[in-house]
Amino acid sequence: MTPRKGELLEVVDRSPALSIYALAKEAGRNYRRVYDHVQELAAAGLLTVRPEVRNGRRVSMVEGVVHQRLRRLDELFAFKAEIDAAQ
Amino acid sequence: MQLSEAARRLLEFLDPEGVLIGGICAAIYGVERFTRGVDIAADLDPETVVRRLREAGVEAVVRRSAEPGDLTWVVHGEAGGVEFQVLPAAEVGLAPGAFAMKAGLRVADRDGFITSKCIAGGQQDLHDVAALCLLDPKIEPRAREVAAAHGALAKLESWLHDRRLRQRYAPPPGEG
Repeated sequence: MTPRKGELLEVVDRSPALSIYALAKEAGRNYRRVYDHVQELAAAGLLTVRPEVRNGRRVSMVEGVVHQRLRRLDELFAFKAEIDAAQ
Repeated sequence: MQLSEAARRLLEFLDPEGVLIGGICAAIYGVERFTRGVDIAADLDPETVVRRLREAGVEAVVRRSAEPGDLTWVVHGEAGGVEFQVLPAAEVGLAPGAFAMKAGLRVADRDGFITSKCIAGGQQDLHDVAALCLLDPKIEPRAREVAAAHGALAKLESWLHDRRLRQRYAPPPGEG
């Protein structure tokens, strides 16, 4: 992995889920290069890109492994809450 | 409210002195298990914690203890249907500034997290430490050192040899 992609992964992991535009801004880098790197990292399974609608506009949100872990934890928590409520 | 959202809000109310510990922190570092609520360590006195939470509309109470081995105080409450507790950072082994930003959340850094777990010393705590060691064997010597310093080495050793934990977290041979 190139150092630039490694830096991008670090920014993704420490930040809340960001759009590619916000990620480029946060990383202080060119949008087009960041877009390409995000696609490559997503293809390698190191990031996920999730479509989301914000203020009526479709944006691609970038999530890293930490976001995915938190999402699984939230799902587990919600599942347990449902079971508790049913009992 | 989602667990991570509750954690995010509580951290905002206790910013910048609060850091996540406990099950959410474990999950962030890669340990998958259920957790019942949000645990935060704060470098604040309990009155300030309660005041800040109440100003944000979150009711909380302080429980104090003078028993040897107990934390001197714990703030308990519930935010958006999620239980939480705030613990004294120094007593759970967290030094000021020993944090990392993960997914926009301020969490104990891995070394601080391991220390907090070894001080807590329960089976679940040492399970988490062992899982972290299996995920990243480089940290095992440091984890053993911390566990030994807090009388938790036997429990850590036991978890490190647990077959199911090894199957779940240790990298397959050739990938480690």
